[in-house]
Amino acid sequence: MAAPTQVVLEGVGRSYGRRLVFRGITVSIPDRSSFLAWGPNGSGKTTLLAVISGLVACTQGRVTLYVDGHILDAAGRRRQLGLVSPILGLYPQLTAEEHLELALKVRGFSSDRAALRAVLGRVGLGRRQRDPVAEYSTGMAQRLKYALAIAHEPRILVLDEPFSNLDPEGVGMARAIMDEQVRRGIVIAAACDRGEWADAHTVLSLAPA
Amino acid sequence: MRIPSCRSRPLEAAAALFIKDLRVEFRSLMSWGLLAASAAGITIATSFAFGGILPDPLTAAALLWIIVLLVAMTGLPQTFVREQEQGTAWTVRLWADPAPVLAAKLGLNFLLLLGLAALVVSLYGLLFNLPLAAPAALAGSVLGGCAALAGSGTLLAAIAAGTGARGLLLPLLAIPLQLPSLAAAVQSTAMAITGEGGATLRAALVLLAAQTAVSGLMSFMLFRYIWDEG
Repeated sequence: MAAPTQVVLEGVGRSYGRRLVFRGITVSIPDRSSFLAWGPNGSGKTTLLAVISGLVACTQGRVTLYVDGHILDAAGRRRQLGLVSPILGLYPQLTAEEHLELALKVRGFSSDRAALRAVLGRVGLGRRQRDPVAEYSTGMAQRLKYALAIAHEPRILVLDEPFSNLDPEGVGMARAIMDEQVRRGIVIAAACDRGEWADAHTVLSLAPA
Repeated sequence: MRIPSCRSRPLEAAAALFIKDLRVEFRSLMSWGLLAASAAGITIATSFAFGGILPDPLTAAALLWIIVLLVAMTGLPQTFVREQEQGTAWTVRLWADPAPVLAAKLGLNFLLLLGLAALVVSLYGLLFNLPLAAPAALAGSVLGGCAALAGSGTLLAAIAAGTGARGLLLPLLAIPLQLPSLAAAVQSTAMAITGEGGATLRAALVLLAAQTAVSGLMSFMLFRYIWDEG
C-alpha cells in the first residue's frame, strides 16, 4: 500500500546513446521527508531530477509518483509537482506576474491578482512583479523560479541546485520554503556539496559513470 | 497564499499559451519587422520586374503565394526556435499538455501568415492597381490558404526546430507537402481576382478547408511525440 504521497524509483537508469549517465537507482521517498542527490559536475544530478519530474524519460527502470495514494499520470504530475532548475528558462519579454499567471492557467488553476502578489511577495519580488524578466538579475530569476514552483502548492517539490545565485536572504527564503514543503509533502533536491543541505532525510551519492 | 483548486481546462490553457506567444512575439518586434520587410521587399521587386503591369491572374496569384511561402519558411519556425534557445521549451513541457501548446502555436502562425498575406495583397493592390472582382472570395482564399499553410507548416516547424539543419529541413519538408494547398490557394486567388468560376472557386475553397482539417488533425496526433522527445 503506497503512502499518501510517495516517490518511488526502481532500478532507474538513463543513458544517451552509448553514454551511461547513471543506472540502478532504487529509492523510496516517503511523505513528509526530503531527499538529496549529491555529486560532482557530470554525475547526473540534473538528469535524475529531470527524470523524476517527467521531463526526460528513463531508459531503465521506473519512476512512480503517488499523491493521496493515487499514481500520478502526466497531467497529475504537472499539477502536483513543482520544479526549480537551471534547465527551466524564463521569457525575458514577460513580467513575473505574467509568468505566474501563465504557469497557473496552463496547469488548470485559477489565479487572482491578490494570490499572485502574495506568492511574489513571499519570494521577495513584490516590487518588481511588473518588470520584464530581461531586467532581472540571476538571483531574481531564481526567486521567480521558486514562485513558479510553489504557487500551485505542489505536494512534490524538486530543486536542482536550490541555493544557486541566491544572496543570504534568498538562501533563507529557500530554506523556509523547503522546511514548509517537508511538512506538506516531499522535497527532492540535488547539489554539488552534501553540506549545502544537511537536513535531508535520505541522501544518495552520485558519481560520474 | 492560497491558490484555488484546479480542473482540466485545455481551451483556457491554449488561450493562455496563445496570449503568451503573442506577447513574446510582439515584444520582440524585430522578427516580425524583418519578415514584413522581406515580404514588402520581394513584392516591390516583383512589381519592378513586371513594370507595374499586372501579369495574367494565375501568374499574379502564384507570385503572391510564392512570396507568402518564402517568407513563411523563415517565420514559421521562429516561435519553436525561440523556445529552444531560451530554454523555455522545458518550462512549457513541465507546465502544459502538448495539445494546448500546439493549438497556441497554430493560432500564432495563422495570424503571422495572415498578416504577411494581407501585407502582400495590399502592396499588390497599390503597385499593380489590382482589380478586385470578388473581394469576399479573395478574403476566403487568403484565409483558407493561410490556414492550410499554418496547419501543416507548424508541425513541420516543430520538427525542424529540434534539429541542427532547421534552415534547410523546413523548406525540404514543407514545400512538397504544401504543394496541394498552395495550388488550391493559387487557383482560388486567381479566380477571386477575375471574379470567375463560382463552382470551381467553391471547390478550391473546400479543398483548402479539407487540407487544413486533415493537416490540423495529423498535427494534433503527432505533435506529442515531437514535443516530448524534443
